[in-house]
Amino acid sequence: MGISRRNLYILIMLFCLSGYTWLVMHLDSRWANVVGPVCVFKKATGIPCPSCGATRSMIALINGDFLKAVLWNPIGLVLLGGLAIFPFWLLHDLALKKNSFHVFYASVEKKIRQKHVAWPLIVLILLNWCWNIYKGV
Amino acid sequence: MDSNKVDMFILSNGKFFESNQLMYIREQLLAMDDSKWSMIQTIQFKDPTTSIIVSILAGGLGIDRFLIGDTGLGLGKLFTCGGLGIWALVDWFLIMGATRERNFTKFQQFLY
Repeated sequence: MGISRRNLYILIMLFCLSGYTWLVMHLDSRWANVVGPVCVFKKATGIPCPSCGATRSMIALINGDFLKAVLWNPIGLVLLGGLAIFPFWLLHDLALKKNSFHVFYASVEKKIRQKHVAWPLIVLILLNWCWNIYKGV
Repeated sequence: MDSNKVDMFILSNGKFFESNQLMYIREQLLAMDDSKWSMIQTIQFKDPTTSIIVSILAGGLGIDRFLIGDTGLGLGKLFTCGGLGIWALVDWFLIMGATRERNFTKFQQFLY
């Protein structure tokens, strides 16, 4: 069960590409407000979604302000970590014709599905969401 | 297996699969041993209609992907506001097919 290697690698590459485009756009003040906030959930309901503030968090981290990054949204740290590591991991896999990333992805998916990992994660994300709403990100 | 049973399975579970998969499923079931019938009957499939409703309502949070068992993609969607809203939109059109694919994989796991 699960996604095939080819589809996963295409998807992650698209992910990283759009992620970097999005970041670069927001690093430059001339482009930062061209698109504006895109969160459909926030527009529809008026309350922020669990990952609102992740862009601002990533920008803060790039500018070296770790505390501000955590305060905006800790999910930004996870995303920036992924953006920093995944492209190189994919290139390494593609160059050496290996599938280590696919194996890693499948094992993480399997681990997350276990009840004793899933529930703490769900609670963490819900708590983070409550914090997000409280902050009014 | 008895063709009556196979037709019964196809009739009651046809909506869970792509139409091009049904012929293959039928052949596999006909060739299958009768002892597996009770097990095949009890497999729970995910309904594509449920997943499209969940996708429209909570697709931005990735709940649709979690529902059909794509935990990793669900997390990806959740962490990025539904892929900046674009992925959530694309998934309205992909999720029914993805659900049927997952059902087919699940069915195949029971074959062997």
